[in-house]
Amino acid sequence: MIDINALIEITARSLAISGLATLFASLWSIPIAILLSIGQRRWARLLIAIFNSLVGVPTVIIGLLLYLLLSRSGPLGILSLLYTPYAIVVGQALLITPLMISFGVEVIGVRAKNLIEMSLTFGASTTQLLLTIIEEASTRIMAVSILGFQRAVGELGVALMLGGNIRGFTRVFTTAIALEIQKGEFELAIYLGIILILVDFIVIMILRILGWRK
Amino acid sequence: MIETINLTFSYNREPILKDLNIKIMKGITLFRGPNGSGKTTLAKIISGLLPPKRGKVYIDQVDIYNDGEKARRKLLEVVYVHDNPVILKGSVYKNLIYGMRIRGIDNKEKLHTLIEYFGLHSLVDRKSYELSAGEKQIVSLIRALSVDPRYLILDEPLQYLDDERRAKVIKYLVKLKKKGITIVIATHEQELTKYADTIYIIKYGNVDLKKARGT
Repeated sequence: MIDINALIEITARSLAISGLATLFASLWSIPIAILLSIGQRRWARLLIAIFNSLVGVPTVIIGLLLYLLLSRSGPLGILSLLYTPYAIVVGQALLITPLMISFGVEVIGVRAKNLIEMSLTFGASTTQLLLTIIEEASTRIMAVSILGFQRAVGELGVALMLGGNIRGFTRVFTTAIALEIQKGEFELAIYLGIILILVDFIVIMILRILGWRK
Repeated sequence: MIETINLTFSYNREPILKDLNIKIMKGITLFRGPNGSGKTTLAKIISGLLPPKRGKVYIDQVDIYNDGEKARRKLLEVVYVHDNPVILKGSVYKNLIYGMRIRGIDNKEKLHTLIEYFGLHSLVDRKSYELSAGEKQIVSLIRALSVDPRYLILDEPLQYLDDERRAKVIKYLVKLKKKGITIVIATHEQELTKYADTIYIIKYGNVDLKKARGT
């Protein structure tokens, strides 16, 4: 018999952790993406290339680096974040940052170039420029955030290494599915898998709808 | 006066503009030339929007890329208008007042005069996406004019306009010229040549001075 409470709890926790990670990552990734779109200098192009190459970094590498930082003997061990949901939030936020910046430069930059020039010709300050772009490219910014969320909710390495898959505390979709399969109990794993796919599907649909509206 | 000294610009390795030395006086100056010859690039460079790879751009003796705060203040006298009008989401009115809002000025009387002159009064409350290409071009022109620029840099300002609106725009530009405004137009329109004081023909990196009346 499927444990409905466990199913609901894991789903809610996964969405909350990945949602929070996406929110934090958006706070720095979107402004960085806009600033890199504005920058016509060589350093901006270099940074874009660096972020592009970081998109494919395996989640276990991010997990390992953060584990070393957050473990009791690590430089940030004093924060006691390891094996808490907060550690997963930090890890996922960092994991999706390069993706959100790269995709952001790609999709916001297209709209932003002429907009930036138009704003600058009237003498817009950096703040005025950022606000104008955020307002005008809101649909694209939403798309960037949704993509980041999708990547965060589906990753395993960070959640496992930094969260520890603790029942009722840090267990999320991916770690729960991995555990249930290891135990040979496929029922919960299948239900969680279906919900994960549904979340992905809903995210894609939202992207599509935003695309149509645009 | 706008002056370029040994201005060089390249997007890749091959310079699109090479050691360009031109002076732009009050009145109407045209940049003419084939597609891709660098008209728009030059217009953006002298507007302070595209730093040159080499060389200097002076506006009234201020180096607009190197004189810091002085350059910033000088550039507030310059407005560049894109060939493809940049239109914001929301109402037409929001678009019209954008320049004034950014500069923190209230020139609404002038704005209403411009709206009346260009026959846009019935469109002010509409959504900007409802506008035709020609109407968008007029909106972006009015937005630029509403901040009273001393230097008006226009990129293909007539391309989407019908004959009636073309005539109105040209008449208004001639009026501005008489007021001592410096107008630079990047265009391939033959129609504008008879109103120009100076025409620079841009040919892949070099410039020929075609006509210089009163210079």
